[in-house]
Amino acid sequence: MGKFRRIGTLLGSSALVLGTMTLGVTGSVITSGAASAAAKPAGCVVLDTGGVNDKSFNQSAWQGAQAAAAANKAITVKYLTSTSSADYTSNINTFIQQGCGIIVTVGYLMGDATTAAAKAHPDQLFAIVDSGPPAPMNNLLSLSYRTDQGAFLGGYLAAASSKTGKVATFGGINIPPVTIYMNGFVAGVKYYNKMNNKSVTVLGWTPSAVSGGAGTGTFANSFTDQTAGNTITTGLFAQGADIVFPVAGSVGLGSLAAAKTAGKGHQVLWVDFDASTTNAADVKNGWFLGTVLKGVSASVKNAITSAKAGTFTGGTYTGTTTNGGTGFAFNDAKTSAALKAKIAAIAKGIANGSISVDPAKN
Amino acid sequence: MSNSTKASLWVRYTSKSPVFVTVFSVVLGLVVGALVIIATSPVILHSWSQIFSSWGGIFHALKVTLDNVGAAYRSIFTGSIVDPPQFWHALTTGKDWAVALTPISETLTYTAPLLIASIGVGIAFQAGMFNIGANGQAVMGGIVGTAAGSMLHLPTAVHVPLTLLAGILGGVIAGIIPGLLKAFTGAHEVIITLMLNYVIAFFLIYTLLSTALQQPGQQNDVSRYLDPTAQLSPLFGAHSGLRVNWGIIIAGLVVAFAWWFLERSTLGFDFRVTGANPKTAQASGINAKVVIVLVFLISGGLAGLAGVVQVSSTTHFLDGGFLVGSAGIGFTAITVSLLGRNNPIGIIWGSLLFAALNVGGRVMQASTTIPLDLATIIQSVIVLFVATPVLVKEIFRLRVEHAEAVQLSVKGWS
Amino acid sequence: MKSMHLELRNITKRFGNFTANNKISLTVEPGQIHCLLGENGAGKSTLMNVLFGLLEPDEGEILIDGEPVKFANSGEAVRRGIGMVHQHFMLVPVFSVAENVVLGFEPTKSFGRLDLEKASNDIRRVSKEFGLEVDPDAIIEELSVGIQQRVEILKALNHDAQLLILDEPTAVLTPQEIDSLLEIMRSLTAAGKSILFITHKLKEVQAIADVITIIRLGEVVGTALPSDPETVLASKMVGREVNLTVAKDEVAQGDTVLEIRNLIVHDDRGIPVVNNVSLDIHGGEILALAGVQGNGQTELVEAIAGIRRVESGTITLGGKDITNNSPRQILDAGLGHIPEDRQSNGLVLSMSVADNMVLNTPRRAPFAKRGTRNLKAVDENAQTLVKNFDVRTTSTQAPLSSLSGGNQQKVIVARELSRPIAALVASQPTRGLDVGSIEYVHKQIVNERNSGRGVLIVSSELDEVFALGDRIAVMHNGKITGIVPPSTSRSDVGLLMAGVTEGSNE
Repeated sequence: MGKFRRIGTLLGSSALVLGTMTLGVTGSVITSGAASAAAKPAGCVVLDTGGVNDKSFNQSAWQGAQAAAAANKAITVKYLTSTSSADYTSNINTFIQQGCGIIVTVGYLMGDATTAAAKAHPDQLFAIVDSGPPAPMNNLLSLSYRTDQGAFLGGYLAAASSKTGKVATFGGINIPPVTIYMNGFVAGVKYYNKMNNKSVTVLGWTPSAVSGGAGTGTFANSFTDQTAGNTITTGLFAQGADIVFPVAGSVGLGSLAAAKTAGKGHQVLWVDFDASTTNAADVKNGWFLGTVLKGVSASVKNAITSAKAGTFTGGTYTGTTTNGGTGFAFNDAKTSAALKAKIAAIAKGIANGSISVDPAKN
Repeated sequence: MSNSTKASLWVRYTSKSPVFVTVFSVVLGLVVGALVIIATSPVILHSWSQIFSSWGGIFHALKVTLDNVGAAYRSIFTGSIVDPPQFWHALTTGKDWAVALTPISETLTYTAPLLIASIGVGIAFQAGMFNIGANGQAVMGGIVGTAAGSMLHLPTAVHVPLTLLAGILGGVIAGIIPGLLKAFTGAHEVIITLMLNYVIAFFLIYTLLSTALQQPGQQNDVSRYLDPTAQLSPLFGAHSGLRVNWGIIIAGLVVAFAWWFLERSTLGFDFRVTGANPKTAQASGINAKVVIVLVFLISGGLAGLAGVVQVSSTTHFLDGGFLVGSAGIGFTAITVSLLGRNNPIGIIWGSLLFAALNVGGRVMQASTTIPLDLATIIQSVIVLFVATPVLVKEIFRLRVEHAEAVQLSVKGWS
Repeated sequence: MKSMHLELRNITKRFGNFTANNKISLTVEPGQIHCLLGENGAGKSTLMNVLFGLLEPDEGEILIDGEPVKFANSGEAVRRGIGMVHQHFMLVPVFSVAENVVLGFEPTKSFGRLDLEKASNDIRRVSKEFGLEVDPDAIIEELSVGIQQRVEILKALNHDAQLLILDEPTAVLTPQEIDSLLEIMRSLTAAGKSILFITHKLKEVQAIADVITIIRLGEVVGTALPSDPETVLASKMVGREVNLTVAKDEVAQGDTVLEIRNLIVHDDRGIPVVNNVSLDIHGGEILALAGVQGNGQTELVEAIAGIRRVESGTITLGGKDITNNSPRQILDAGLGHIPEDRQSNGLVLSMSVADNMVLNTPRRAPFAKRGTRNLKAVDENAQTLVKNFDVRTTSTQAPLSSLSGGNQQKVIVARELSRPIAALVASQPTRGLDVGSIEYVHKQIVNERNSGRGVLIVSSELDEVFALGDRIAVMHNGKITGIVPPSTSRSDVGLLMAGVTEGSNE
């Protein structure tokens, strides 16, 4: 979901007129294990333009790297942020020159630059989040995630938790990385209806009746415009929904505000980044139903750790509910044990293929 | 006169030219950057917290500070211009030239599109017009250029020029809109160009998701690749490992054109008269409407060229993040043009400086862990100081210019 | 009766290495009108700004009633009894007279409510005392310039000023208004007030001054008596002998070169300010258009030059209809134009003298060829013109801003007269120029007339109108109130300027 952030920064910086005036110092993360600049780093992360604090996959990737460093003192990690696609090659080359153990690139846009670098430097290990080379390579690990599986669980829980019989979702921009969540969500709701003979309806997104087809729905056309998130969510609440799943980055914070305005009984289903770590107080107060997770962090940690240990293998890693590549984080205190168990069972069903997350097949 | 002979050499040299204000602004930018490093570096802060815990603690703290700040600026320099040991190694052994030349090659690669866009903005400034839409125009240039570069299939000798022309055309289309609106309805160009940036940003996403331009097999907002025949090839060949490419040659030609245009052409003269004094321009028979339209045509065309050079020299495809945020060379171009006082030669230095700070800042982050944001801070501070010459003069005790004083004293009479 | 004795001692003010005032000393006795006479740029304004607390002197001191004072700002000067009437009025147009007079020092009733009644009564009292008739409740923008000036004076008096600085107060007034201003000044001094009167108009100095101090190049060059002849005052001011009358030979009048018929022109607000004006300017003739500023002359000239739309009527230049043509077409048709405000309408200060010399002909041979300028030819042209028109500049490549106002004007004159033209329209051609430059510009204009061109001069200076005009047209309120020969008396022309025509009741 890297490009989401970039659109946000466009709006922000052009409003400031002088694009360079955006002083993005707050929260600059200093590398883990900083002092020894001379030693060769074990893991080097090339971030996409969202940067290290994007509360999305760039941040997750860097957290994975930091986790790897925290678990093993011998591992040092570094990152470089790309300001545009023109920086990818430059950043990768900088890390190659530094002799990094493994270079992790983040985002499908870096696919070609990473593949080219991996071909030119067969001895250098690479991993890439959300993309992969056309043909598997020995020194390149492709990390991809079936987020529709996590969203399916979220959809089921939302349907089970709804008092009004209406739940809703909306997206940032109408592109596949967004709509895959929305499809999984709708499929989860449909599965709940089928299993329990209910008729919970989904507002904001109608998937295609054919597998893989284009659906229609509501989009904020932004990943940063919280006002739009508030407006859309308030509208969805007005139509009777009581749980909203915004797949739109920080636009979702507008949904949170809308839920608080609408009052108790209105909830938000969070995306990507466990809400209990970012908005703990709001989770405690029950404004969040839970979070549909994308396990970028764990997979990046594994990639770096295995590279250090010499157990790295190229190819493809697909994040699923079984390997922690996607999943669902409950709002622990607010979800009943029975429902948790039910969802865990569904996760097993998805894992063994007995449950399809395709909305067209539910 | 006795006054001026008494004045020190320093004062006499420094008061002559506004260039000194710019140079001192750069110095101040680096000083502020150093302060930011000190204030945010845990290592440095820790050393200062220990100054009372041991004999010589203060010297240790000073050493740590100097080492860290020095390392940061050294890596910016070695990362953007040349690393002397690497260069010496290449010189003595004749090997690894690619490594030795990579920093300057990277800087020039980043300079090319920025320089072209800045010249476009500078020409508009010289004519008294504020083209805040350069970024959108560059994006438009990238879109149309990418369309020509990816959808047509032609031999290099035709395809490259055609792609560049398409880019210029894209910029002209985006530029002529505010030009016509300003000329014929009196609409303010700042508002229109600023707003068109948003329109074009969304147009970019639209085109990238359209079947015409979207990369086959992709569902994301990524365009087709430019044909190899439409790409600006590296100057030293694809296998040299050096990314510096024909873009910088094109930028050089643009500078030469801009210099001729502003200093020697009759149309450029009209532009400058209009910029310096629109009422005089009108009374002197210069058609303001024509000038306005042409300013935006040329400025937009150059911005479009910058956009297509960016695509065809480095990325070879477009994505939704094209020229967005801090990569928005069209916005940076406004700053660079200001820094270069809208003069082609000054703009060369300005864009080299900004490109070097970006490239070197990246190496700094990789080798010292100080975030690239520091480069942005330095750039911003430089611009702030350039925009407040009085402050710079006060800090460096530069003399107030003679001409200003005379103007002040005769003001009441004119 | 309160009064003030003011002394300036060795006031020196430098800007960088430029000395604007060098050891200037002068004394103003109570009840005295002290005239400060000097050319533009002589340092009069700087001195007054020092006195009024706007600038700090580098050396010297100001003594009020023998006691040294220092003003950090103009507010302190006002509190010590100094009042200043600026050339450009500092009034709020939409406020009433009373509101303007009390602005910044408002009398209040309980709870901070504005006591306008008290203000009005104060004004009536002061008005009566000094013969300054003003209606306190009138709105400023509805008043004539002369009355607005009275309001400025009232403002100063209301702050209990004992010394009034009047900075070029007559530049904007009709002859009749000037007379009444002089009357007011006399009544003020009779009441013990002192006046520092800044001007470069010799006739006024002679009429009103008690003491005259002459300043040249930032220094006091001497004092003079009001009874000294004009030529003596002028030569002291300029530093050399000056010829105040323009030698004009008889020249045979040619055909009409510039014909204006029933012209109606609107100002920026869309109000017709040129109302059915018709004029004929013949070859070999100077038609001087007299009138108080702001009576439509500016718009008339702008319409002729093509920079303001003509609503109806026609303008014909050399037989060619140029009504609403573009400025470029009008320039090419042979109109020379010396604009009223040279800095904002005729020059580019940041550009070189040479560039300014070809400002409206940059594309003509030999200055350019196929879109490329020939800078050598441009510079050669400038070298010649600088020599022929006696432009004082360090170099033809020096920025125009480094030239004095007089030399800037010479650049325009040189540019316009070196082109082949059929008619010359010169608006306030000597405004702000020193006596020496005025002499020179007048000579050039007469030369144009002598060589058969038609010349239209617009001037609010009666001296200039009478010195140059072969015929004098007077404009008031957008209309031509009369066209008279130069033998007409000044007071008759003055009446026409005020809109009083024979048989009219205006």
